[in-house]
Amino acid sequence: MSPNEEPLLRVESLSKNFVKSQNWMDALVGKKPKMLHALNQVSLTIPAGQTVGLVGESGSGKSTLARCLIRLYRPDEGRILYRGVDIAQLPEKQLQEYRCKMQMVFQDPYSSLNPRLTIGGMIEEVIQVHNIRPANERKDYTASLLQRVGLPPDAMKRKPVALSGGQRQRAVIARALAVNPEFLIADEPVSALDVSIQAQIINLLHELQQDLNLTMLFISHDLRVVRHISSKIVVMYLGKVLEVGNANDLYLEPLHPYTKALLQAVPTLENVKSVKEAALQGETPDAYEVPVGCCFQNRCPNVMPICSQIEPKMIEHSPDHFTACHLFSS
Amino acid sequence: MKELLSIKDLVTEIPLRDTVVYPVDHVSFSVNEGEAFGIVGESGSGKSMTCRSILRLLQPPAHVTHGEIVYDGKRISDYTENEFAAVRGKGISMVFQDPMTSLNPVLRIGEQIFEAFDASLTKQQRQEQAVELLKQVGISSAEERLKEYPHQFSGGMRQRAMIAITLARNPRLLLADEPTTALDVTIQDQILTLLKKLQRERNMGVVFVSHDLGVVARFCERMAVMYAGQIVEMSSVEEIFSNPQHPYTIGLMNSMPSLQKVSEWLVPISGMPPDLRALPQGCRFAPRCPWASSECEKAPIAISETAPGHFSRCLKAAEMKKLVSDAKNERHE
Repeated sequence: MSPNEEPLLRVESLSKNFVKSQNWMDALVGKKPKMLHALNQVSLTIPAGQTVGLVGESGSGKSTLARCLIRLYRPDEGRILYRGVDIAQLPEKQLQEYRCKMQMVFQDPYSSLNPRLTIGGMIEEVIQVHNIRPANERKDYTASLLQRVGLPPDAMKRKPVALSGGQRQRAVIARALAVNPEFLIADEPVSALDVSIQAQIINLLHELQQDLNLTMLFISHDLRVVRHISSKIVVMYLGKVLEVGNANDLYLEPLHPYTKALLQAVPTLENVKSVKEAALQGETPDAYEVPVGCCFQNRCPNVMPICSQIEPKMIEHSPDHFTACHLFSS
Repeated sequence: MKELLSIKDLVTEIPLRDTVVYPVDHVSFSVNEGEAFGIVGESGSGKSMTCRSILRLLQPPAHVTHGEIVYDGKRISDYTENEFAAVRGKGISMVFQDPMTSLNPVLRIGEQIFEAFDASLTKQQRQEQAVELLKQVGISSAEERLKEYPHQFSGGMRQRAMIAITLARNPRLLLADEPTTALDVTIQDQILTLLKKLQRERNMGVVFVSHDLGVVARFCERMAVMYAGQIVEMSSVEEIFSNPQHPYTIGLMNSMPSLQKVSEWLVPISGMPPDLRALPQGCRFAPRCPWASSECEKAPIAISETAPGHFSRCLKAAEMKKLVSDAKNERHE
């Protein structure tokens, strides 16, 4: 991407907090409810026509970010610029137009399909609601979508129970494609699937991305999967972005200690038989009390005194490779 | 090295309304003392059912119909339910996949550990040993943690507590059924390191079930690959990864994305795992196998030793190396 080209999506200091439900006693005595900081000043850009991989452990805010981007959640602060238009606080009516441009594939194909509708029925519903095709063309269009994602034609009349996990995920993808989206968010799309089926779905998504020139945000906790499909990678931890870089740079020369640890922790066929110390001690703290300074300080092997005082700023360490860590801020 | 567990021709069946399926179909393997043996397969391949069959934890109507299980020189498959109770926990113990559903949510962690101890221990001894166990599995401030409930523990902590419970009776064989699948990578890494350390210290035998080849490669010395209820390949971990002799094993390895991106496209296994109710007559993998011939579809394939200690259930095991390199060249052209 040339620097002056406008990215499809630009996120600027996006924050989202959730209020923890209080028990009635605390409410009665007027205690302030606890806040969970799911997203904390997240900024990133998603260039058009590329796949951006988003990695992080559970609780890092990956899914919250995805849901904010397509406005299933309304963010508390910050801007989401979709082709230059801020959609962060748009009212529901005006969002309709963007709903067709942005679609999402969820993790669990077992719970994201209506068990009482046939596959054809639920795709046609989408086509009807968004008025994509006139009534007499809907059937053919649905059939073409199913073919596109590699489902047999008779899947149209079947209900989700009659499909395997991989087939269901294909149906979910077909439904997302029905509105001709520009931007597809895939939130852990293969986590619930078996290894051999995973590869089929990853290939399918990759193929669709190239053929339809989709922009894709691919979310996964599995660094191997993300590596395979993405050109740019974003690493999140505790609601913050810690490192952003091109896939090659980030995997070959990770900067942030957290990224290094994540990569080390992945069991691969290459590093067979290495009984070593665990890459990272401790666990992700909960996001109710985010520490002052760096959010990774209590697990970081390279922690310094400054880490508990000042929050590291995102700096460009080498071209297009950003990290937020005091080790690199001179 | 002494053989700790040996299983011969284990068959488990589930009677359905109109037919019978065999999720474990003539499975044989052995585990030595202090050895980690991995079982890899996809869902429905029978790997968990094998573990449950060994420990007699099958849910009816599933039941073992055939086979011999020898543990520590004793034929435990002939034991009555009463005799078997002495094996469970003390001899062979099991860690389950999901630490949320395998802990009792309304009992304190401490009580759940106490339950597992020998009944002859005094309250004082139980308390001391439970604290010691929690320390061993890496839970800090153990005294306070014993008084907490499972929901107050994180996923990784729960799995540590589960491991503490299974170790309470000093088992000599541990069945670990996907113990890290529900966990984050860094936590998975911690649990694997912990299990390895405990295994070494106690010289435990471990049967490690996983769908992740990488995890098994890291943890185990020998491994078996299961498909549709059968073991299709078995050997040492190094041997299987350097010289795989079954198309399914090769397919699994190819379809796994790696940190070093080799090519843009993964090579998936085509098709879907078979329905146990309608298995092919010959090789069960034949419908998905790139090298299947008419001979493969005729009759069931027996497992055979292709090299010392290397077993494969494939007619073309001998020419596998050539087939793989040919396929690779084709892909690159």
